[in-house]
Amino acid sequence: MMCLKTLCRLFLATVVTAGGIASTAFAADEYVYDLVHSSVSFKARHLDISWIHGRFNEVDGKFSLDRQDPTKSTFLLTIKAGSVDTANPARDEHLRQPDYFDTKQFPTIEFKSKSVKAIEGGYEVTGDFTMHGTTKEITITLMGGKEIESRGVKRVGFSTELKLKRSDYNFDKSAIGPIGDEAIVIIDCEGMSK
Amino acid sequence: MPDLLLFLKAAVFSVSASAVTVLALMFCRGSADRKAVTSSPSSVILLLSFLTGVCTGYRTLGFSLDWPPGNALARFLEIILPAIVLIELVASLQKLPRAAVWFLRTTVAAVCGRVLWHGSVYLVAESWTGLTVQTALVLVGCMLSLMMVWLLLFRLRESPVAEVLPIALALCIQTGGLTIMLAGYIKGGAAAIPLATSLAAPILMSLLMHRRCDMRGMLGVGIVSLFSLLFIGRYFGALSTMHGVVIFFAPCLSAISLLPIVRRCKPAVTRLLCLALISVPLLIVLWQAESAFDKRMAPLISESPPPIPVTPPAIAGRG
Repeated sequence: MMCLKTLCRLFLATVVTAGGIASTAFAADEYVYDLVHSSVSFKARHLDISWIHGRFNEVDGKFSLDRQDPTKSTFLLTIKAGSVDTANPARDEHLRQPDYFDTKQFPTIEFKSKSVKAIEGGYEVTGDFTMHGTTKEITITLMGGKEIESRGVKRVGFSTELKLKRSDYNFDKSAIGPIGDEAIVIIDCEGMSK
Repeated sequence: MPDLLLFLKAAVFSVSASAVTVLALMFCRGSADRKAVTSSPSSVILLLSFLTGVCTGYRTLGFSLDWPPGNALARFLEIILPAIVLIELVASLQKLPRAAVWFLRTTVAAVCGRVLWHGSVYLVAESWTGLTVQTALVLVGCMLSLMMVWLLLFRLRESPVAEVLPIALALCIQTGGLTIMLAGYIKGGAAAIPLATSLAAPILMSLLMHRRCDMRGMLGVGIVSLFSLLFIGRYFGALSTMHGVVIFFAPCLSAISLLPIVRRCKPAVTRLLCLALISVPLLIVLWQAESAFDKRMAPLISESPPPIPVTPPAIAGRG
């Protein structure tokens, strides 16, 4: 009789533990970056009178969203620096050179989240932003996060805007002349669930 | 935008520093050793003058040296250049056997490209050297070319053109710098200024004083600097392979001095002929680089707006 009771308890404990693990495993939805419906663009001041716009055409990334415990969510974004496009091939070639992005030495720009906090209408994500070989901790505000299902694929979208100073990322100071030091990066990202 | 005034300032400071150093060291050596008062500047004096000029020039240009070096240019300035200057200084002191000195020089030639490529897209994580068969072959080719030019110039150190070899190398370095700059890498091109001026200034100073110099150290430093600069321009900037190859091999034209017909000329004529001959491919490269710059880059920095396309007026009463 004792043996049967012990077996029952053990069974119950196993079920509860397995259920717990399963709920943890399924709570976080994983999404991959949808390049077709996303964009990473930027703008910088020219001669302090106007804005030059550009974008990065090759971006990759993934994120996992835990709706129940947002602190367990993760975000990763990798931008190929060589894919810079300002609608002027000569300028793009110049931007790829060591005076600017130095794409042969630093081929990617990366953001990797370290902590996530839910806020109204989105998430506040703190993480390491690596550009031009320099890593700095930044906090970005991701607005959005609404999930819809379209043709059997779950989709979720986020938008953010951040200000970066080139001089903070070890860009050549002498190259900060007509183009302003500060750049505004606009990320509109749509993720698809696997 | 290149700051031409800053470049000029760097060149003037660099020339002044190396010229003053060569004079001061020659004077000091003369004071210490009476026999040496009329002697020529040794390789050590020339190398120290070069080092002073280079440091002054880079300081004027505002180059900061951080450790570990983050890019190819920094690796050249912080690893390759000090290594070759040190090796040539040791070689000049004649404390090492000749075979050991050449072993060290060959080592620099062998690792130079790999060091400059460190951490870049040219290396792969799978191999412990970071090299694939293709990149290894490129580096072997570069090493053989470097050693070939080095040995040829070393052989010419006893010829009448010996005095102008560092000047020829300085010309090539400066042309390389300008070509790299015209291809879009301004800082890489500017890096040539202190190298070229510090290489030429002590030699010109010695020539003005009618002293023969011991060129061995300056040749090594000059050829490795030229190679590294062009390598950086080719693999990190947008210098074309053809331009890089032409500039790198241009000093080999000084081998014309070995021809019997040229040997019969006066040394001054031979030197002028040698410099003129080397200048021809350099000028062609510069002209091509400038044309390409005008075509590609000039619209970006043009101060006048592009012409407005003229559209034909609509024909009244059509249809």
